[in-house]
Amino acid sequence: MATLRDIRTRITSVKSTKQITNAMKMVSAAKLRRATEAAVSARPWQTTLTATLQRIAGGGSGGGEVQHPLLEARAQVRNVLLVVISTDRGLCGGFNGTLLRQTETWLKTQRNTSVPGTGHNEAQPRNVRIHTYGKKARDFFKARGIPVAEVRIDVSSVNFQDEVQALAAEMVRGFTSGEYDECVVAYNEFKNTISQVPTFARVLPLSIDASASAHTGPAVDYVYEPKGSAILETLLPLYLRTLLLQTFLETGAGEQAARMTAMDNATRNATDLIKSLTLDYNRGRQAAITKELIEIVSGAEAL
Amino acid sequence: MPLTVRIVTPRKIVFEGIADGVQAPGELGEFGVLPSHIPLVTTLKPGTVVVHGNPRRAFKVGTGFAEAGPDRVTLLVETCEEVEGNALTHG
Repeated sequence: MATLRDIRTRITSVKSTKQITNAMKMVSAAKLRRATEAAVSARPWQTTLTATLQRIAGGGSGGGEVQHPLLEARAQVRNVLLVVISTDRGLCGGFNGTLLRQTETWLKTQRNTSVPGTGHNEAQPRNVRIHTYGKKARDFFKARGIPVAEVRIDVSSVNFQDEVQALAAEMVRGFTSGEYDECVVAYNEFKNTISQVPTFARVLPLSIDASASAHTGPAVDYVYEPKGSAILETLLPLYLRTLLLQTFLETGAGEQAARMTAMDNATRNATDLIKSLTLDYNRGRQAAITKELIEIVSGAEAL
Repeated sequence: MPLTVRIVTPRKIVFEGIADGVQAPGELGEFGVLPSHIPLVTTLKPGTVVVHGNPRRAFKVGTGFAEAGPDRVTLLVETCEEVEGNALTHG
């Protein structure tokens, strides 16, 4: 049985842990607010851009079906680029763990998908090239010996824009040159503060739902400058960057939310633990006092 | 009928307000939008956007695109910064 002093030391240590988790919770709450604000303020841009693209895709004076290399799905998907977006820091519950485990499963199914060979080539498994963002993803793949083509760390809200720019450029380059047939982003979708869902989103080839524009009021005949597909040349990369920015923003907000929840739980657990330890301590203390009393009384009787 | 002008970047809405006209650097050349403009979608190159309102304001913008209609103009640009005061006079 633990001595009274042992219990006292444990109580002190749990108390300081609680202080730390509580502080981390507060910090995350503040950061979460900022991160959600950033995500919310990016929304007008996204909706306007999406609406415009849908209108272009829906026809009008641009004329019928839109065609652009970035929109074309390949008949055979042989090479895939997977971008995994994790965080640099831990202590945020299952936020990274769930995403990375699902990524591993996803990789397995991809590698088991064989693509029929062209001409006399044998059918071969799908190739997946991996890019990771964040230390957690880097460590995960390193530990499992899965080769990663590119690793980026220290991605913060300060340099989001540059990272997104570079990533989008790389995707467009690889996709148009035929190096990749598909680009997929694995990230945590920010549903709300208590739920972030690991998501695998195909970003290239881009898909624009033209039918959605049918409901956005009367069709207006727009004049496009430059004409038709030339304007897509500018808009589609812009759209891709928007999609990617979205994933980064959601990861940022989700990380803080997950950490806040995790630290809230930790603080509550610490409180419970302190309570039960204090109870043990007091019980032990009383037992000691009672024992001493009995000794004194029986000593007096013996006289 | 005045124009409702919005300048939007991925980070925030930089400007939202009423104006009499807008000048913007289109990819195919500088253009102006006055009320009752035909619906137009055009790409923008980096340059200066001038919003003719009260007061007149100018913004340095990066690449993006503009959507104009009879009573509104929406500029979506990747970067945008307001140009202060007198820089306008020779614009």
